[in-house]
Amino acid sequence: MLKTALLTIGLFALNAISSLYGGAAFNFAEATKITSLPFIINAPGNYYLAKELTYTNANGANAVAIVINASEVVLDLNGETLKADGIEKVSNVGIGIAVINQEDVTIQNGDIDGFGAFGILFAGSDGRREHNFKNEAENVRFNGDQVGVMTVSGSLVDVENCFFEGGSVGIYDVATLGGDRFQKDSFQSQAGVEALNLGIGLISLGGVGVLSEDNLFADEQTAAAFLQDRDDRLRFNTEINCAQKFIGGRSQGAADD
Amino acid sequence: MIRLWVMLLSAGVLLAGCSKAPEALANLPPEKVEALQRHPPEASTTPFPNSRDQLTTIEASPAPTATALFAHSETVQAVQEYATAVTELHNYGQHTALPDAKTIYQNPSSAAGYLNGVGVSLRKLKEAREKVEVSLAPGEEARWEAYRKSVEHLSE
Repeated sequence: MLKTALLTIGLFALNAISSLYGGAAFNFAEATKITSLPFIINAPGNYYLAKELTYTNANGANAVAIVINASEVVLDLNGETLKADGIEKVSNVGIGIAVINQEDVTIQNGDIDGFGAFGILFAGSDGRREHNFKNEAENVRFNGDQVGVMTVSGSLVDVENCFFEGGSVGIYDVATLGGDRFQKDSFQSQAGVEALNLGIGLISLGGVGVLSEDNLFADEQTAAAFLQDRDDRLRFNTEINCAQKFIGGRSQGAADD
Repeated sequence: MIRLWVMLLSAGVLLAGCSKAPEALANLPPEKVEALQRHPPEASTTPFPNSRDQLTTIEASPAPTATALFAHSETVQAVQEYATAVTELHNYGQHTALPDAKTIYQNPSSAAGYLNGVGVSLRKLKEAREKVEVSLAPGEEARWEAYRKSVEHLSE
């Protein structure tokens, strides 16, 4: 009886924390708990980190801590940290969470630290819109990942209310099919690392239709943001102490030049 | 029947209009009429561009040359280096392809060449910009800012 009451109170507290963070609606009572790594998600549904998890991969083969092989998934980090160690920290090796050819995947509410390649990889492999479609990272702190969020061939990918500290690039968007949005994010102190000598908050290459809105960029070694296509848009971004401000794109706010 | 009347009325209006043409000529001074008869106006030989041609012309129109804008030759050279770096950035990826997403997932280092390459042009841009900024003559700052924005962005 006492056990049930404590469990109920615990779940209530988790839901309260989740609602404070924001993000997609999440019901801890019906969610699957992740307690060890690597972890593979093969079915739609809600998942959450039960505690801080550190991934070190002894054999170096599968370097991804969490693989999401299903659409319509919400992964709540539950205020915990997904952390790289060992070979996962080596440049261009470790990936925190990989989402390949899926749609409606949300990753929210926690930290992803120190992955040598990408904190999150959202990717579509065949240019079909429904592969890497409406995927989202919300309220996540990326600390020292070489690239915080890497998205390839996406559309309507949304990264919002996230914080990127350190590493080489905050968000790297390649070959978007259109509509990717990066809003209310903060980028700080991206710099050239051994293998990826960039030092930029946000890069968009080879696609069209990216929106960077209401973001803050501070102390960037090379530039705040580079948007290759002239139809990529910059709106109301702020830059503090970056080597260069905003390069490329179409500026729509007074400070976006 | 009504249709027939409408057709007859339209024909009448048309004939009345035509009959005005000789009257208009008659109102001109004789020397003007003579000149018109000897040299009738020719159609313009300049082709009117269609909208696509106009767009191409606008897109292709070059930014003002650095030589015309800046006093010192070192500024001009740095601005030209800057413009070259901007062009490289806008063209980046035409000759370098990102590997397939599944390949990146299995082996993230396969993407490193593509992801890193753009950094070369970005650093060139930064160096050229710094060179320009230290070599500007007094009063050229605003001109440089306007030039920089015109080559980097499409402002609204």
